[in-house]
Amino acid sequence: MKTRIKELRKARKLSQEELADAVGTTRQTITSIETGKYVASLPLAYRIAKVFGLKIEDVFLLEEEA
Amino acid sequence: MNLDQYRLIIHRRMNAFRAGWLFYLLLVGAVNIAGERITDHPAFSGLMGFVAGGLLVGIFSMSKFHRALKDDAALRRLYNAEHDERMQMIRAKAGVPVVLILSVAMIGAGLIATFFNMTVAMTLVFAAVLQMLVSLAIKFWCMRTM
Repeated sequence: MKTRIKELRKARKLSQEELADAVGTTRQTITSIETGKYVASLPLAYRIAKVFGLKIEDVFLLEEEA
Repeated sequence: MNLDQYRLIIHRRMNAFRAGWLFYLLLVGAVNIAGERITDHPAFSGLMGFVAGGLLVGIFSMSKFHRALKDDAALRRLYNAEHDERMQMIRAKAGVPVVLILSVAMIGAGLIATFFNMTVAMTLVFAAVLQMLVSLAIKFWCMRTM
């Protein structure tokens, strides 16, 4: 699973800590999702996408789509 | 759960910690009253060490709780850290809280076993410590790889 979180976060000048607070998780989890070490659950993916005002599929990409 | 409910939970935990300290002080009081009659027994020194260890570990959590109760942002961060889905998965892989509950039960059984057989008692305590160390190692390994 690839994500566009880092790119979207930087475009909106959001730090990992700020994004983590906004979605109710920790900075370490955001780091792990950005580096692909951890795949977010559906509720967390939904909350992340909501912060960016996008659909889940616009933020999270399956490897064959990426 | 809202932050007010979580604040109540934190208060409850702090009260449990204070009760632990009270229990420890009662143990210390028992030493002064009963003297060598009970302190000579390995079960008593084992219990003292076990409770003191738990309380020392708890001091770290208490300082976190104190800070969180004074600052809403810190409380929110503490709540997020506790309910973080990645950490919940890591804890589940490390066997928390089952390993912790079993270890406490084994240490308790070990303390009782000191009245009957020292070898059994020591084996139980070492096994409990070992399984906690294995759980901790798995937790750190998962935190690095997940």
